[in-house]
Amino acid sequence: MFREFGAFVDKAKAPFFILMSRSPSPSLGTRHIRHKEICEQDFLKNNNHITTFESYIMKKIILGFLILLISNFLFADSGEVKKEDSSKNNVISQSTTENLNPAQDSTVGNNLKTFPTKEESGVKVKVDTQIDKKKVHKGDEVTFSIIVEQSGGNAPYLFELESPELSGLELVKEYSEDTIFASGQFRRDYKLILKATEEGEGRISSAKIYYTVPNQDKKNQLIVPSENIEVLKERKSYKKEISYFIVAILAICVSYFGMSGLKKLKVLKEVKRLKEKEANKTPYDKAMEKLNSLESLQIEGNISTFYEGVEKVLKNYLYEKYDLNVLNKSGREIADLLMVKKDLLKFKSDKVKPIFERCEEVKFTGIKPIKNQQEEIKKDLINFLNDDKNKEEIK
Amino acid sequence: MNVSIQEMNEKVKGESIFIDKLMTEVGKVIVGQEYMIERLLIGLLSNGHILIEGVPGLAKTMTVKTLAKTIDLKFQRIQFTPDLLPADLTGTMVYNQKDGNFYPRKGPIFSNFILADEINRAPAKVQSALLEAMQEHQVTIGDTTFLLDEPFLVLATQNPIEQEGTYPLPEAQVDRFMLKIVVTYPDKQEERKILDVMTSGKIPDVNKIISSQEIIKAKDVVNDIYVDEKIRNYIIDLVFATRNPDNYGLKLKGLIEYGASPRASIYLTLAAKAHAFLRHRGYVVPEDVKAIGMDVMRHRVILTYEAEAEELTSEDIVKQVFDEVEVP
Repeated sequence: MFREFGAFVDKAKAPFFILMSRSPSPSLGTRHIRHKEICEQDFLKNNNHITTFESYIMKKIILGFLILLISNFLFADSGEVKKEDSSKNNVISQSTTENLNPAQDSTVGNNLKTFPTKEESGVKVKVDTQIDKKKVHKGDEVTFSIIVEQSGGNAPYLFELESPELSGLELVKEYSEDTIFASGQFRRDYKLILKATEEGEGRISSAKIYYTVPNQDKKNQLIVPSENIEVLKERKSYKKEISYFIVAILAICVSYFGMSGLKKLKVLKEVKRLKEKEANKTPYDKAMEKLNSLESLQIEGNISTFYEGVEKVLKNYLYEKYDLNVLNKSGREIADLLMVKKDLLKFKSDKVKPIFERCEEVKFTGIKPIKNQQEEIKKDLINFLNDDKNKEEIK
Repeated sequence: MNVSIQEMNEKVKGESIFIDKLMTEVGKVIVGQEYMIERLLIGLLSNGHILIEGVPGLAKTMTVKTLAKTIDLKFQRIQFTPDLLPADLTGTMVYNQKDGNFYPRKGPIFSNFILADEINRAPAKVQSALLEAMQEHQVTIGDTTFLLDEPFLVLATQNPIEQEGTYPLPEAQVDRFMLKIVVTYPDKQEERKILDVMTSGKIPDVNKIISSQEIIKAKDVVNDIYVDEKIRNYIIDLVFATRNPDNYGLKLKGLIEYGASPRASIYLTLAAKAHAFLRHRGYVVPEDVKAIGMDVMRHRVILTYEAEAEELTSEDIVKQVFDEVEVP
């Protein structure tokens, strides 16, 4: 369709027809569409002399194919590397002391060094070193890896590592892991976990790897060159300070709560003692004690409260001694109650009634009786309490 | 303050002398029922109307009649029946053939003491006519409004049994009665006395003890009786305890549908004053409030269905309120 109308399409109208031509192919991926769109724009911008878009696309495809072909040819070696790398993923057997993925290991290293390989009867032995950090703080750990690779040969050689001498560093842990790939390649990773002990320069002196070729008595050796690490000042650790702080806070809390607990215990003990003391008191003792404490109200001139106090003393006395429910009752109600229970009581209700009446009069009229009247009601109450006590003693 | 209270006490003592005489005089005819007589006097002295509930034969009518005689007041008994009309109660315009004019003819409500016997037997329109007169103390016949005589006291009776064919008073109308008193059976000794008095063949006559004017004067004294702040607060607490029992530590949740109305606070105060007057006191004490509390509150506390299902009465609730609310 585009070919038929292509000759008539001018530069301005082209995008519209491009869209028209693209719309009938919804099955194409968005990536393809975008690519096609870019190509179309390039085409319209730069290649006006090419009459058809299809031929342009064809040219591009051929160009791409050629580039791919040439690059494949030129980078044949790197292709081998790629093949080798990809072979790492095809692990058929793996023996590790730690559960580590060799594919990951190959990408972790910051400083990967490859040393001269030794070739013997088609067998290649290669040593690499790898260190995860070149700059550490004192007390930090660093992982130094020595990677021995053997390609070719019927069986893996017996490799032995002579640990390197360390200065300013300390060996924390050493382990190795072996990997055999499907291609027959053998790889051993020696992992040395080192701890920086001194500030300044940490040195890993050259290590030696010995291996014996089967059916040969000769012991070969590979020398791993030395490695330097910069050891910085020890990191300031707040752990200790925080732990001291927490301990101090805990100590303060314990001492505070301990002190307050002891204080509370003391108070509770005192309350218990007073309660026991109070429990041992007779209703008469309590009434007399409270009555005496009301004197201060008289002195202060708080007469209404004094009369309320007198009424309360009498009510409490009747409640505690005779178990009469009088606390929430009016004077008249109490008098009625005493009449009902007169057989159980040792006193006559007419002795109590006037006291209640006088107290209510003061409470509910606001009158202020003179000193003599105050003393009189107090005297009446004391007389009543004494009479009641004497009767009990006689009994 | 001291002087005024003492003066008031003296005044009350002087003015309330008739109470004891009156009680003695009524006691000649009515045996027991001091409770009912006291409540009638409280109603009379504090302008409140009374709803009396009691089974037949408890001398309700006789008590009211006797009391009216001792006070020299006009007494009318109106038997409420289903065919009673408002005009039968209030009066109507009557045509005079001589001059061809209409003249108002006052009904039985124009009395001092009205005994509305079995008020729940009359239809709502009659009940309303009576209750309106109670509230307004006036009656309109035709175009003319007539003021009712003072003192004016309505005593309505209700029979707690035989509820069939009755028109129970709505809560709003019951609320207009200051007191609802429940008359109970006399005890054995009282009944024996009643038997002796009533079968002797001659019912003793009662003498007039006090005039209506003196009653009006006594009412003024009752109004002046001192009610302390503590007592006023206590009354408010009692009324509020029926509305928000939880706030007063009462375990009445879900039992009260409607608490007492503000009328309850007003009537509690007025009735407590009258009760103090009956006790010859110039000031109110909690005892006065407690004494009349049940009569003021029992018909103002409306219970829920749950309470009724638990066979609780408003009296149980009011009793609990009075027992639990702290006395000052």
